[in-house]
Amino acid sequence: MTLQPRLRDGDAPPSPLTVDPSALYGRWRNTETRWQWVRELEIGPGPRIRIRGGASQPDWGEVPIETVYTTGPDSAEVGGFAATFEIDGYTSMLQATMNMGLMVVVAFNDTHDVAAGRSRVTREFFAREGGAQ
Amino acid sequence: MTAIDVTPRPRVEAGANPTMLTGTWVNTNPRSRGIVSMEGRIDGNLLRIRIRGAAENDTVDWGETAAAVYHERNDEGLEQPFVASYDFGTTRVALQGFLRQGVLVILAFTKFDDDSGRANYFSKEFFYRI
Repeated sequence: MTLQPRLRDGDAPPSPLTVDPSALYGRWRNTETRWQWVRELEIGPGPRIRIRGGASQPDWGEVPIETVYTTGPDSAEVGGFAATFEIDGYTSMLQATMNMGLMVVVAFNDTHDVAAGRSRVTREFFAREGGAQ
Repeated sequence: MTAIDVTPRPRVEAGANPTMLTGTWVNTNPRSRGIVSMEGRIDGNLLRIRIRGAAENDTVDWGETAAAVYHERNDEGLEQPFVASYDFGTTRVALQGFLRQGVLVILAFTKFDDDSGRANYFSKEFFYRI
């Protein structure tokens, strides 16, 4: 099966090796000041990501970012990423996208034990510390 | 292991209402280069979706896959959130979907596992039910 994208004739598709993830680097803080599942995230070379959560899970630790995505099939602009954390009793699959300078992080949090807590989804917005680049 | 590999197992979480995702949903952009439509149906305790993707002068049937549907408060900004995935061998697509004010929003994260040089990318598209 051939899936999209189709490239225009003569287009050179951007290689994954040329996609520069450094646009994601830095510390990103949750824009919501009340309830937070993820308080802040820090992304650096690797690329790797560290998450600091709310009171119940203050440090998720650091994992490699599994996949960096561009904003489109013929774009080299970094537009999102995926990462997976194993935290206390949950597998948390993160899918993040950039939108107007904000990072939107959706976390699908699957509980390992339904008696301990339900699976849930969170969608939170993050602004880069120090402002947009 | 990647996030696509660990796509949550298909099921419908307690409290979720997958019938809100059934029927045929059509892309608001008729010139989409990604997903043209999604069909959802209930199969026992599961929601199964079928995606039709854009192709040259036609559509491509991606086939049917089962989704994991979650229950979340509407004030989270997403309703009936779900994930599903397709594995086409050298191309894998993880789908993230949710309803917002009756509009179905689907984010597709496409990952290439071949040597074609194509960059992995995501797209976000909007669908209305017909």
